[in-house]
Amino acid sequence: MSRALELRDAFDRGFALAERPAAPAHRDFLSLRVGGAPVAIPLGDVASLHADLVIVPLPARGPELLGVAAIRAAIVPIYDLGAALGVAAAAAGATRWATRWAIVLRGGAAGFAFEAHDGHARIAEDAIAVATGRGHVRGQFQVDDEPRPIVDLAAVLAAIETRWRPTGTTGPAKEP
Amino acid sequence: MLRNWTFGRKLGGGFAVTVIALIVIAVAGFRSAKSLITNDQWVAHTHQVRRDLAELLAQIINAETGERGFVITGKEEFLEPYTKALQKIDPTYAEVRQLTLDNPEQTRRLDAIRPLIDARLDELKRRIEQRRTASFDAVAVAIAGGQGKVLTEKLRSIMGEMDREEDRLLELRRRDAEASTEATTLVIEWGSISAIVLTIVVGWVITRSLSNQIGASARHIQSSSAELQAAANQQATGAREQATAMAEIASTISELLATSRQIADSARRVSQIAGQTATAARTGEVTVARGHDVAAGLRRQVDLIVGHMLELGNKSQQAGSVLDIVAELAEQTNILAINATIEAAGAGDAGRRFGVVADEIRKLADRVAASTKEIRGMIDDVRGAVNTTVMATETGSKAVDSGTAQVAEMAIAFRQIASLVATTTEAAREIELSTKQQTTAVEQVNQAITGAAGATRETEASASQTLQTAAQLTELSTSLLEIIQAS
Repeated sequence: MSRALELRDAFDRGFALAERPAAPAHRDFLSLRVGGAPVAIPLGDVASLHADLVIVPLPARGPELLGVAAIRAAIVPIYDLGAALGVAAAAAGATRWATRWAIVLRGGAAGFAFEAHDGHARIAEDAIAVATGRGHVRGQFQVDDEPRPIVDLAAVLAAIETRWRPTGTTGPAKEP
Repeated sequence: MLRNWTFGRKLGGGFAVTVIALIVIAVAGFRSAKSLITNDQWVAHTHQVRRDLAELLAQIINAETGERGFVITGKEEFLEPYTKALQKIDPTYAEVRQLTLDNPEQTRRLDAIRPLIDARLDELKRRIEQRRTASFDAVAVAIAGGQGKVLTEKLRSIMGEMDREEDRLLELRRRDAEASTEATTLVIEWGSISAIVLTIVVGWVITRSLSNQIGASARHIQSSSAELQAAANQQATGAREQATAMAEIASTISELLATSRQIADSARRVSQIAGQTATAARTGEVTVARGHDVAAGLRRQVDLIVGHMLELGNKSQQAGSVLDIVAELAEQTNILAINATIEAAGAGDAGRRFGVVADEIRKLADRVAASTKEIRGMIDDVRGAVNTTVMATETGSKAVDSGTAQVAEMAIAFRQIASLVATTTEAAREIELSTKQQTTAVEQVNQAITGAAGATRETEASASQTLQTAAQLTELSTSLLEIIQAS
């Protein structure tokens, strides 16, 4: 039996079979690569995924801010996820405009650009090791014997804002 | 000065001195002997004078005796002594006178006794005559008169003086003889001693000089013979080494001779093989011409293959372009599915069924993406294979071109080979001829080396003989030196 027939049978079986019972507890993640390192982003933290997003560069005090992009009639600041995580700080200059993929945080407050998109991952709850602490890593799971840390993008964004926001102000960061 | 004299001159000088000494001694001896002889003659002369004087006196007495006998007896026979004495007195007197001519004193005495003799003889003659005519008594009275006795006494006296004179002369000559004998003895003794001493001195000087000279020459000969011995030894060693080297050279020449013969055989075989090679080269030239035609046909086929392959590459590239579109669609579908999943998750329970569909769409997009990726790999493989084939074909085409060119070059090369093989054949024949000549030359060299080896052995033997002779010469010079030094 050819692979085309197998694909067709699998596709038809999806319509022929009864609705599956509720799956055991699991969580959905987006698998990314930042600076060559595997990273997982909870799917619930993401508003949308984009490829070849047009980013207009802006002058910034820090290396994290790449620019702004127009997403669904909204101006969203796009940060370099690698620079924000510090995994590609040394190579930030070389990879600043090589980021092809971008995700927008739920709520549309900001977006993060990254190098590669490994796909969607559905991980059982008991396979996730929850981390305790105040960092941006919430936990970790393994896929194909490769550990993949779970990154809290909101915490990353808060850290960026805390780093560059002047003390006592609530407005956007200003150039010195 | 003596050192520069030759052996003969030294020996001649030595003998000359000895001969001169002997001549001096001989002359002195001769003179002494001659003096002795002369003296002896004079002694004999004196004795003769004394004998004649005695004879003269005896004849006078005999005459008296005969006169007395005749006077006493009156017989004639008693006159015989008188008669004989008268016959001898004058010759005796003349002989004495002749013998004493060198002595004037004796001549004077003889002149003095001559009248006395004549008177005595006249007296005797008168008495005899008287007796013949007279008697004994008468004659005896006349005799008793004593005249005859007086004459006789005078004769005796004078003749006694003469005898004493002769005795004196005899004593004088005896002394001369003794002096001459003593002188002769002295000459002989001292001459002999002097000659002996001179001979010893001359002999010592000559011996010393000759010993020094011969000793120096002997030492020089010893040194020279030692050097000659060393040189002969070295020559013998060199000759042995040369003989060994000549033997090795002879062996090497023999090997060279065998090698030359082998080379000659090989050159002959090379000549034969070169002829066969020339035939093969001509055959190869024809074969290469055929190969050139085949290569041209192959070149055309390769060009066709290259064209088809390039077309296949273009089609594959077009398929890849289409596949890029499919991949883009799959990726966009995946993005849409993920976003749909996100939206469904945001919708809560209302979006759960939609989430399921979105999930299926995402899986489908993943499969499409995987298939696209797989097809991309296949197309890349096909394109790689096409490119490899094209490159290989082009390489093959170039190889065919190169092969064609090489075949053409081979044809030229074969012609050159045929020409060179002909040259090689000629050269091989020349090598064969040259090698035969070389073999002959090597044989001659071998004979010469054999002769030289024989000469070297003879030289070795000669050197050994020279060494032996030098050793004998050394021993001889040592013996001569010992003899000279011992002396």
